[in-house]
Amino acid sequence: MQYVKFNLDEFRYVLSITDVIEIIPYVKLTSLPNLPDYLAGLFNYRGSSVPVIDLCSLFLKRPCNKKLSTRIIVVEVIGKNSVKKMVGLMVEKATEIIKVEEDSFMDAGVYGDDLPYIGPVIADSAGLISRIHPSEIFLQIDNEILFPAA
Amino acid sequence: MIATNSMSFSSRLSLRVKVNLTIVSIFLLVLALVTTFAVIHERDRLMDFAERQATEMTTLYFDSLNTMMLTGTMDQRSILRHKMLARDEIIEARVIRGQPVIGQYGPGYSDEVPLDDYDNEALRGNQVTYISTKGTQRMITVITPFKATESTRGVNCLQCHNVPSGSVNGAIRISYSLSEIDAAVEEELWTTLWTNLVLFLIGLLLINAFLKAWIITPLAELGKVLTKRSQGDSEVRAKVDRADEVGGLADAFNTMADNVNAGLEREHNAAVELQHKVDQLLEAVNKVAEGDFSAEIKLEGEGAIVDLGESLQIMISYISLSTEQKKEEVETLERKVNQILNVVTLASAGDLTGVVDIEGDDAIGKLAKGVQGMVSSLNTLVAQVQRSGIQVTSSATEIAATAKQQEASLAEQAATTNEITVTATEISATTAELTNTMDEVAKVADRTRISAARGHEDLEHMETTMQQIVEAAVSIASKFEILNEKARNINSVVTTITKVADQTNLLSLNAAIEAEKAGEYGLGFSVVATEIRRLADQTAVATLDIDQMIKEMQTAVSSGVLSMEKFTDQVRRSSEDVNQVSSQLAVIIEDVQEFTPRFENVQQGMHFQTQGAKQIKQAMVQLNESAQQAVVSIRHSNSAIDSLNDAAQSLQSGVTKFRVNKPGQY
Repeated sequence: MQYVKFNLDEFRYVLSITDVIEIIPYVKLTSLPNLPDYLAGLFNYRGSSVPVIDLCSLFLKRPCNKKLSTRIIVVEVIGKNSVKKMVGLMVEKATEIIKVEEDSFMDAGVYGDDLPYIGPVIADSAGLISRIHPSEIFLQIDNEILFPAA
Repeated sequence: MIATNSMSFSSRLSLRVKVNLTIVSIFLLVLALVTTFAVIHERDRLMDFAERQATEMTTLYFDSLNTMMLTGTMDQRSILRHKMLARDEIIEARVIRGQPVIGQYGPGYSDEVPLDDYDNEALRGNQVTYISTKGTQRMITVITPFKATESTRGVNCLQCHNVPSGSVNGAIRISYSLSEIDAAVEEELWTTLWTNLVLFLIGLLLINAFLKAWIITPLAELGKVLTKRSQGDSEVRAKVDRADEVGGLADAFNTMADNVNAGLEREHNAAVELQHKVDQLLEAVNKVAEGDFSAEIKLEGEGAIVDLGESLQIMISYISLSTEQKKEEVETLERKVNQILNVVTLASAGDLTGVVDIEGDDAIGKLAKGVQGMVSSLNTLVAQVQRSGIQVTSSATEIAATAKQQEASLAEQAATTNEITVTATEISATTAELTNTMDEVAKVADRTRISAARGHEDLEHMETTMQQIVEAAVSIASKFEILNEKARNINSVVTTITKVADQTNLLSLNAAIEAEKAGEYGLGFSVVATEIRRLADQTAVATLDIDQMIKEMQTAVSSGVLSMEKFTDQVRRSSEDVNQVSSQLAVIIEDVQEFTPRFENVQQGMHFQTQGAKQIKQAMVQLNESAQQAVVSIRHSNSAIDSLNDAAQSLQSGVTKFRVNKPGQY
């Protein structure tokens, strides 16, 4: 399997490329008043308004650096009521795709509802890399903003 | 305090101990008597009872044996004996056969023969009773003889026993143990003893309690009151709160204390009055002793002390009168002597103006005349001497004053000469020094001129060089600027390359994603995408290096430009400074060149000055020497005048001691 690797400070994560629609460079986003910090803004993706989640805000409590290597990964997530939706995930240093065998993932060894961003991990020479699934991120944030009420 | 040492032992004990000792003694006596009596009585009673019991036993034994005789069972009589012996208190039970029975029936068992004197005594027909001790056991033995009569205890013995009536057929011996009785007596003894002791202790406690409450405590309180009284507290009184003997004692003490207090008060008053009178007398006598006879003694009342006062008054009046007369005589004599003494005292102090005007042919009058004559003669003589002395003194003083003036002027002259000499010497020395200094200054000025000239030339060279440096620096700065511009251009190119590399990287990522979506068909494309990404990464790394280098270069160039600008500024400033110094040096050189001829003039003048100062010095030394000689000779005459003056002064002071009458008075 191939995974997009990205960094959030010293923490490294991978995201399966089967979940990825496209990786686009950092573009100017349209912001709206009263949005939570982790919601960086909206942008026009091929004729659709797509919200962008700033994972640096969500995970590290600071906005992502405005650099060339800071990119938006467009993914499709399944939210409440099995509604499918396109969202952009703003991350830093999303410059590499790595191949990982499915068997290489192992249990992280820490659990709990307060640690939702830790999935199974793999090891490389620089340490451990955690795998995350886009839909899991939305278990922790306010779904009312991103998904229409039933 | 009670002097316990001198008292006998019994009087030293307290009342309570004494009472207790008495009671204990009496009780112990009574206890001994009562117990002894009770025990003896009890013992006698019990002994009596034991004897009767033992006697009763013999009778019982006999009755039983008699029954066996009548029933013909005498052969089994040992059964009866065993039954008797089976009783605890019976120690011995025996039948003793008398001669009549032995004669008729044989000797019987071995225990039926008489064994001791008591047995034989019984067989003689006497009742025997005795007390013996066997081991630790006491016992009473009773042997009762039984005689054969027609009616012994209701039986006619003579029917079977073939003996005369009244003969002793035998005796029954019973030994009865006294252990039980002795034990009973002992127990009785202890019971009585303990009961009495307990009762006695209770009684003793009660007696002590009453003794304390009724006698000891009240007596102790009264004792405290008495102690206070003995220590001088005359106001203390005993508390009378009972009508018994102790209460009576307290009341009696209070009455006594009141009486004693009243007596003391009366005596005290009398003593005070007497003291007062004696004080009055003593005061009068003291005054007389000090010479004051004005004292009057007034004593009221009667008695020896008043009489004494009156006599003393009379005596004082008499002494006062005679003393007055003597005092007057002495005063007259004293006045005359004082007058003479005054005149003589004045004369001895130098005052010869005194007059003695005492008439009379007595010793005092003659003495007065002699003294008057002597004083008059002295007066005349001293007046003459005084006049001559004054004349001598005034002449000597005048001479001395003149000499002093002369000496002072000479001393002044010498001092002035000295000062001039010193000043001339100083001028000479200073001039010599100055000449030397001038020589050196001239030399230094010359050297300075030469150096300044050389410095001026060097500075001109330097100025030229500086100018060249400034030009070079300006050209370097402009080159740096060009370099900086070029670096900026390179930087923008590098930025463009970086952006392209980034785009390429992004493209490769999306290509990989698309390839994945294409599945199996996209595999080849995926490889291409990876290759593109690698290329992009390398490009990015290369541009990063270039970027870094350019940035460093730019920093270096910027700092170089800054330093160059600073350097150029400094060089410019230095160039200006050098210019200024150069022109100043030129001025200095001119000034120094002007100095040289002036120095020569000064040197010449100084030389002349030195010579003049030396000549002045020599003249002054000569002048000084002659002045010194004059001073010495004046000092000599001065001392002669001083001697004359001293002599005149001492003469005059000797004579002025005397005061004399004005000429013509005598």
